[in-house]
Amino acid sequence: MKISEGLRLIRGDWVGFLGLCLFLCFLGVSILGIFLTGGPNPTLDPRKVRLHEKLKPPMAKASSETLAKEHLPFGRFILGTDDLGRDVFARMLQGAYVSMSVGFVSVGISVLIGIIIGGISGYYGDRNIGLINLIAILLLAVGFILISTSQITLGLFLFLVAALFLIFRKTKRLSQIEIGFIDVDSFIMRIVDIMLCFPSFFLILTVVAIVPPSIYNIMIVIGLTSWMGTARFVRAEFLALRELDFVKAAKLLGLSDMKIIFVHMLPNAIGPVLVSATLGVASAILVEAGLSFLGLGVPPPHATWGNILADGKNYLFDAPWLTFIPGFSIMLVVLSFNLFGETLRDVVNPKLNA
Amino acid sequence: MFKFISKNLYHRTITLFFVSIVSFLVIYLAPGKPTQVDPLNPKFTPELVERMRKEFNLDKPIYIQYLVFYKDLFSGKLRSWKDNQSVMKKIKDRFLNSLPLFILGTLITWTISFPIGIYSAIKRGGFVDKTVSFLSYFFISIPGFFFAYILIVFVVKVFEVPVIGMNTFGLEETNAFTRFMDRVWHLVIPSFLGATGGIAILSRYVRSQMLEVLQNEYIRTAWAKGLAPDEVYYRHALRNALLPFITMFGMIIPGLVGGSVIIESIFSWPGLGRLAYEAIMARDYPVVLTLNFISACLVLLGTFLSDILYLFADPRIRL
Amino acid sequence: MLVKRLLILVPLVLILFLAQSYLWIPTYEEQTKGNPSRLTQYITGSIGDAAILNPILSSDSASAEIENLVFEGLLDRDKDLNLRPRVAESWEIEEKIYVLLNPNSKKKPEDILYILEKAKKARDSSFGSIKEIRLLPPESVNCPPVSTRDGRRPNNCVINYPNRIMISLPKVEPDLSREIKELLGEEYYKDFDLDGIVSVDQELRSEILQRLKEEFLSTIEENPVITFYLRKGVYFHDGHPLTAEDVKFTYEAIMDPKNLSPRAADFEPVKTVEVIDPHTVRITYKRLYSPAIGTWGIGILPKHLLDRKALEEEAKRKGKESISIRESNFNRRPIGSGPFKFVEWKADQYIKLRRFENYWEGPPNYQEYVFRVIPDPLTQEMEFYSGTIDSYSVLPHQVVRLKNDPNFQNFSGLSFGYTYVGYNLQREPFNDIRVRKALAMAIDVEKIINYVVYGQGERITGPFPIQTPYYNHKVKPVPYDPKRAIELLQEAGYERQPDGFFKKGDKKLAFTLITNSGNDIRKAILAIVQDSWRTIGVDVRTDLVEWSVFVQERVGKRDFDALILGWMMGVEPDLYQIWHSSQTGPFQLNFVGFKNPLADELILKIRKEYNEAKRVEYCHKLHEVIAEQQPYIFLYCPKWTALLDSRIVIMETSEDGKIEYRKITPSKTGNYMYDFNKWIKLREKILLLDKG
Repeated sequence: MKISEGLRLIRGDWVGFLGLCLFLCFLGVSILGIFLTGGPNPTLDPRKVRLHEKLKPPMAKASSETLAKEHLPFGRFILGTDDLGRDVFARMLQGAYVSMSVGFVSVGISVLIGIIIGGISGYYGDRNIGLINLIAILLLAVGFILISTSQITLGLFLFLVAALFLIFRKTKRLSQIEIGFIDVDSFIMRIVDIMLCFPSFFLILTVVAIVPPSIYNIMIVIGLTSWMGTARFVRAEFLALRELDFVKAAKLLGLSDMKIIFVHMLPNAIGPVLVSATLGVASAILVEAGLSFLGLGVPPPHATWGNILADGKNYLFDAPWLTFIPGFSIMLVVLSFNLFGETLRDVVNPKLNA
Repeated sequence: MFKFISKNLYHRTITLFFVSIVSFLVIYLAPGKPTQVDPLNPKFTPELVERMRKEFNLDKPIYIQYLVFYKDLFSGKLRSWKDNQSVMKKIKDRFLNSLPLFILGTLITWTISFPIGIYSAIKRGGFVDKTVSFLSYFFISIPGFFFAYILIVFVVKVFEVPVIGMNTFGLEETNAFTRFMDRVWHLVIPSFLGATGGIAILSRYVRSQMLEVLQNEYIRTAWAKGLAPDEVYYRHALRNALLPFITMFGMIIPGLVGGSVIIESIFSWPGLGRLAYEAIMARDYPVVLTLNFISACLVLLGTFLSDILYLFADPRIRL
Repeated sequence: MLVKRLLILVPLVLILFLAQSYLWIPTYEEQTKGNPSRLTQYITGSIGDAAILNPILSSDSASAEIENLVFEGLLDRDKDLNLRPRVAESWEIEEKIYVLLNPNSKKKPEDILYILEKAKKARDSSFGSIKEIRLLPPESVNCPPVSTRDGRRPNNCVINYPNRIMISLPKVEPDLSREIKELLGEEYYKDFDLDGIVSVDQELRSEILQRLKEEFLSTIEENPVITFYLRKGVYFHDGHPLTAEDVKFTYEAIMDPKNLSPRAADFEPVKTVEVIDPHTVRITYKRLYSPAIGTWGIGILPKHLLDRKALEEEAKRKGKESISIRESNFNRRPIGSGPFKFVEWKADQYIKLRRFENYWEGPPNYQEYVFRVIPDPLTQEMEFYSGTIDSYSVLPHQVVRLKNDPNFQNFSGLSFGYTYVGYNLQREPFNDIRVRKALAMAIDVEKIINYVVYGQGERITGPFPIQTPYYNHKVKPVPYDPKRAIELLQEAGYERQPDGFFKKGDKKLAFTLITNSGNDIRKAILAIVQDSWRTIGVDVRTDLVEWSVFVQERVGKRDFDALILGWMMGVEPDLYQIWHSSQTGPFQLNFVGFKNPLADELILKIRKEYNEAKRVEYCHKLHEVIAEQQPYIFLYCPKWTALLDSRIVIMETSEDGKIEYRKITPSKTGNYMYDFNKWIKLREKILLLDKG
């Protein structure tokens, strides 16, 4: 259908269009941010501590001591400085990039896991899981546990062996040892149910309090705790798609399962996944802000908008810009993702296209 | 019918069992030991640390700790490591604190979302619809604690009344009515904060459900029959649109334990959210695991209830 | 349409109901100015709730705050750090020395006795103060409770003392044991088998022997004795009088392994606690231990509520088989003998205390003390401005903002501790003193003090609290000299690369600096230190680690390069646990791995020295040694600041009923609440002159 009709719909609906524009702005700013604040000698340094310039309001002139050593646009701090004299504008630029990467990577992880699990569950449905597969999954789990308790080599080995086996096995002969009451779908849905039993913020809180704080760990944790929604959507779509002719045809042609799932069925099921992904990025940014508030967010020196907001709240009465600037920025960005996502939902939902 | 229920319950119990194992593993495999045992405190000699480990059963193998823990949990003997109080008592006290917040929040959310959602659907594209949509997006996009601070500062500076805490401090001598009203007031702002997000999402969902139902053939028939608008909307359309919400009702239950840590911290509200946060930070395993277990039970109960309600509500489903 | 009407009516009614509740609540004005009983309350805000209100069991500061008001110890310290009697009216310190006589020696016990008597009569040096010399026959005594490092106890442990000579002294003479040894001669103990007098299970023998010798076992045992004379007329809040039995009970409760008391280490050197009469208690120590007297500031527990009988009754009431002190309800409803008695504790909300009318010194001026839990610093600040709390953990920049506001008074003093950067001396490049000195020179500590803590700190150079006489003010701080720092690094063999960073061979000069999360000031210092080091060309990464993980995994297991931490110390200059080379094991406090024989010697000397002037001298030398070696970069000693309503003053009533008001002045130690009992809040602010 989809792209041209989708674009037409978007242009008609100004709200979604606004969202898309804001989103592109944000994207632009983050890319700008990478160039302007990255590397060892950036044009705008988000890390430089200038204690004598602390808590200056936006558009404040920099002192001559600072201007002697570095170059500032207009010789001023465009958005002021924070409690260590760091340039808020530079930090917001870097934060844009970091917040966005946190959002996208975590959603990427969650969507990847969701698609794999949902796809397998939806496709194989009520086929029996087979003893060999069960053992492989068990090995997978044990390997994962070993990795997380730092017995990395053994864990990684088991994990890879099991994963490779599950992906590449073609032989149906081995799968014939079947376990009566466990079929793929219900097994996987059990796992999803188990994950859903943990209230998400607490799960994230627990894990983040436990693992060493780093930007990567936070991305991974958020990703690992939010794939369940995507998995459900994909499964629902696949259950429907499975009965369609083109799938049956592909099977008859002898195409391997993996190919059918990923090359043929998935592009048709992608609709709700995209919606959920867009909303997921917004939610990931808010979660990161919440974690920063509790002191468990991305550690320094990376600046994220959540960080800046959380650090600034202590100075609400002395330097309100430290709170309002990141607060409103987060709001705008999340808003844009939400608007865009809602429009996408209208686009992919066939029932509302009246 | 009976078979459906029993099979359902059976599956849920198995899930609960696995949840208990997974949550136990997550906590115990974590680095960082309980902070009662603080090695950087010069008063904690290695002997004391060792004795505390023995006291908390930390030196026994994992499966023994697991069994001991769950035995204590079910017999009610479980004690917190932070201050030695009974875990169930702690949770019960905090739960009673969180409950009014939760009830009021849910009440606000549900009673406001429906009229707004229905009205937006009926007058689709109108001024109210557009404003409400915009405000909804606004409220779900704003970071929670940012909004909370702004609200608190606003109320305190403009109205000069206390906002935080469960009740105004020092009001013990006045009569019961004033105290009751005081409790209500202190509930207002935190539940309002909690509700804004919910209203935004729920009202939009109501709206989209109504819109979907209004597209149907039988609605067109009703219009054609010449029925009054109120009849069409409220007697015919609404009932069918409400179907999914009946099942959603069951899903409210898990919200009981999921109090927001952030709101509770900011408002000094001694609820379950903060209890869980403090327990996680202090590695108070008994409390954390108990909360986990209870919340898992509630989730499973909630989904179970939803399934049952769905059975009754939707006449199209027959077992 | 009923449904429609309901849909509109219900939310409307709800909103109106909620909105009208606003009309019923008192405004801040009404709560504070309009409420006369507010003046008699002192309300503090705290971020965390207390855990256990039992002085022998708790280890967090919130619990300690309440315990200091509800309980009282035998003594405490006044504003100049001198010991001030509380429950104990006075005390005496004596000493008993036991000289073990070698049964294999040619010299008979009577001969030794004669030699010692002669020395006593001659009144030379320490012998002159001896009160009495007595011969003790051989005696078999059970060992004091002792266990191996991993907690195993011997079934059987007996010390078979040979003939001994007991020497009683009216004060502690630390040199006497050395002089006795000189008198006896080198040969005397040559064939004496000290190990042989101990009989203990074979498998634990060597470990137990080692412990016994560490604790006290030697040929000459020195037992300091403190006798406390308790005040009469001290009561617990339930009316029961406080006697020496309660003191003994407190000690036994601390040492009982079942109670897992964190204070046990302080009382380990105690040999016995005897009740001489209801108001006299005598404590004998196993060895010379000068911090001993300070440990008796610990709150005294009521025996009649916590002894075995009481606990059994409580267990019966609760329907359990048995409960220990840790499980007792006492910890949630404490009863002590302090100036305030416990009223109520609502978990995570507040703790209420009311003044104790029968307090031995007279009831405090304030009628109520309330401890409110407000976890968010911003809302704490707002409650303070509105007048509903009287004090909170104020941040330096807030003090600066309110310095000139006439509604508030602020004070600050130096705290008992310091902030530092510590290196893992067992890792490269920190094993090279030049590198350490260079890194120290690269940091402008004054700037940190001025801009991070807003001047609320003082530069320090060594390991003692700066307000005590043990601190050596002559030691000069490391100068801020980045150029010299670069030179030093080059001297140490590092070459500066074109990109500005240093390399030795093919290894870059790079490491990770960590500190714990949740502390904004340390976070700020982290950023500044990293920046300073980057500027001279050292590649430093930083990491914020959550406290439990920080303590257990990084510090405990020595898995760090460099870290930023702080120490909070007591008045006693006992640095054994932090600086002695034996304390470098996992989970011990000398985690930087500092090993210096001269320092070790000085540390042990200080512990045994009762002569104050000598102690100061050793401490100054130790300070020099440590400062020279730079195992830490000693940054600063933080000043604490407090903000109070300016209407709070000290009110004293003299003998003839005259009331006098004084300004609150902080003591040397950073304690401005030492005479909290005398505080009162006045309705209007009055002008008081500073009494210098």
